[in-house]
Amino acid sequence: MPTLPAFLDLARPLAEQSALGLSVLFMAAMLVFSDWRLALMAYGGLKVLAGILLTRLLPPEWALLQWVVGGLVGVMWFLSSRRVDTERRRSAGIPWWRPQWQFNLATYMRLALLLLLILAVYVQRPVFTLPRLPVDLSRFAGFAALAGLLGLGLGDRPLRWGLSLSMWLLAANFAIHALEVDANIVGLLASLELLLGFAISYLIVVDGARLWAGEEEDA
Amino acid sequence: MTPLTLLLLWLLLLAVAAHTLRRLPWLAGLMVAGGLGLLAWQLAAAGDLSSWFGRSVEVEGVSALLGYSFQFTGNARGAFFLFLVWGILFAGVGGLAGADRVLYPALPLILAALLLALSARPLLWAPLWLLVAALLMAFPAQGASPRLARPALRTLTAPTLAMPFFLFAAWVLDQPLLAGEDPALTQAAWRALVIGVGLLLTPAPLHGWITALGDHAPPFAAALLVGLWQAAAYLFIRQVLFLYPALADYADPARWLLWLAVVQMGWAGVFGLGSQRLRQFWGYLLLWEYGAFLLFWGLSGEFGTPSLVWLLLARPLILVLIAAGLHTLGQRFGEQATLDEMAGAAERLPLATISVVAGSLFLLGWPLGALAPIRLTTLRLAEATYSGFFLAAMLSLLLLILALARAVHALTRAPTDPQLQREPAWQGWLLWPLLLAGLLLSLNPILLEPLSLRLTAWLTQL
Repeated sequence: MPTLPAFLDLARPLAEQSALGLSVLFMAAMLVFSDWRLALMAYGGLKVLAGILLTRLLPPEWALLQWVVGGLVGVMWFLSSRRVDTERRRSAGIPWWRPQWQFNLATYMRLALLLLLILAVYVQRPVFTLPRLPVDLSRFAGFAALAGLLGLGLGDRPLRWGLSLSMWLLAANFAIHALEVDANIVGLLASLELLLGFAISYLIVVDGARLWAGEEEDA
Repeated sequence: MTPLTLLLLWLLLLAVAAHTLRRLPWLAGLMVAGGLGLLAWQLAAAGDLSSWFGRSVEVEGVSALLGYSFQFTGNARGAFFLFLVWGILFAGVGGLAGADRVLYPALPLILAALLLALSARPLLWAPLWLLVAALLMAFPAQGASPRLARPALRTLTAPTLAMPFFLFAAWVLDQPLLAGEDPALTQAAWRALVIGVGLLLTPAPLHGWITALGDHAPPFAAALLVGLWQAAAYLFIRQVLFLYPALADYADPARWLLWLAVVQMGWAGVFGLGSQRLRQFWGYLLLWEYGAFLLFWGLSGEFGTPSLVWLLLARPLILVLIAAGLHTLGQRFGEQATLDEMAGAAERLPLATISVVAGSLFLLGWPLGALAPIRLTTLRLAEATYSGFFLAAMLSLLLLILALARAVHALTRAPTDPQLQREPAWQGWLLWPLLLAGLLLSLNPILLEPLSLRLTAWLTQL
């Protein structure tokens, strides 16, 4: 088991460039996949890479708080989504192991919008000049913010809303931590994400509970 | 013990007690109303706040959390008193009318978060506590029964989007030396502050949370949440403008507030006319009212603080009246009933129908309604300032009156369901006093003046 400094040595090349491309892919996956398991896996991957990328701006112990927050929020959303999905599968008679990946019209629309966003970013190469933030991270934070806003426009499903708001907050993490390395601000942004995670996981359940209303009246 | 600690403890206790009594929602509602009423009485009666319920309090005491300080200033006292008025009315009337039970434990917690927001440093901790309040608002917006999460989700959006802009502005503006070193950064901070403030006011297309609340959330929760949020946003922005007066030089609120207002009102008028359901109309009515408040704020500026406070005190009376009517109609016809399905409402549920129709007219500024004086003043000011805005406001008003006429036409048709039950007799006891209060306030707006003047005096003690 490598120690934290040994791990950071290993991860340093990743933090420079390759994590950025991979993170963009994860963000795209979070927006496109309607399957909650794939979206949550992408969220987990993004949080791991975001922690590594933030080591360029913050001391590692604080940067890797992204892993803790991502882990806690991810578990909450996983449990809520699984609860809703289990009830749905039980009522529809679909076994838990059968995948239900489907390319419906909404998936095509999300894919088209995302490709449009990537194309626009590629052609225009916009650099959101965020003060004191390296250009590559600045472009990454800009993409995360745009992807978050795009996700908010894609419908009112609680999980997608949560993933989009977390992308927006991730962009904010880069923009703010480039200016200020302060434990209080790190804690403030982390607590914000945890609170949002909690609210969204509650909303995933109550939104899904419409499907089995009556069975659990007054539960 | 500081006043802030005492208030927070009391609110926490109320929330726990209301949650414990959730099986008896009427009792929980009345208990929350009573508990908040006690606080309001103490705030109004105690002169310098040095003694609360016979216990001595450190008036100037500062509460600390994670290295940041919170203080219960005069401004926070005024703001909190205003929130208490809203809370008392909605918890009391909601308890009697049988509103959704989630409202009662959530209400003291929302008030606690708003109190912390207005007692904290404006650009760092205050937006966080506003966001916490929005998160707590998601629970009554969702209600006790499973329903679409749209209103709750949209309620979270604006404060979350605004938060990073405030953090950035806070960092730059806290370093006065930076202005000389990097003027571009200071300009960026002003821009961020304007964007953050703009986002808190939820301009189109972020206005969707209001219409979603009106359409899908329980009516009492919708009215309370929109009203509380608007009052909190106004008081927060007012505080920011006092602390950073240069913000007004960068972007004059007297200009952009008017644009925001006219867009909101116009949007509400156009889409309100196309409403197929009463709840949809209610959502657009809330949106129009939101815009009308912004218009008056933009026109009157800081000189209009007493009038704005008067408006914030009178509005809950009207909103709670409409919410009570809609709640009863929703129980009989279903929450998502179309206008066509509500035939017979006026015959079998006359008081609920009168509450909705009269309340809507009051809200729009009908001559015999509580908000008539303020609406008249708004239109006069608009006419004196910008003729275009006056016309736009009048047009949006006309469109909503047409939408209301359409709703009245649907509600007054003969009942199609012979089994449709009449409304409970006790409802008269609940609605008549509210209707009369609205009428009395329009005939004599000075009735609220002693309270609004006292609140204005507190609010100026920043």
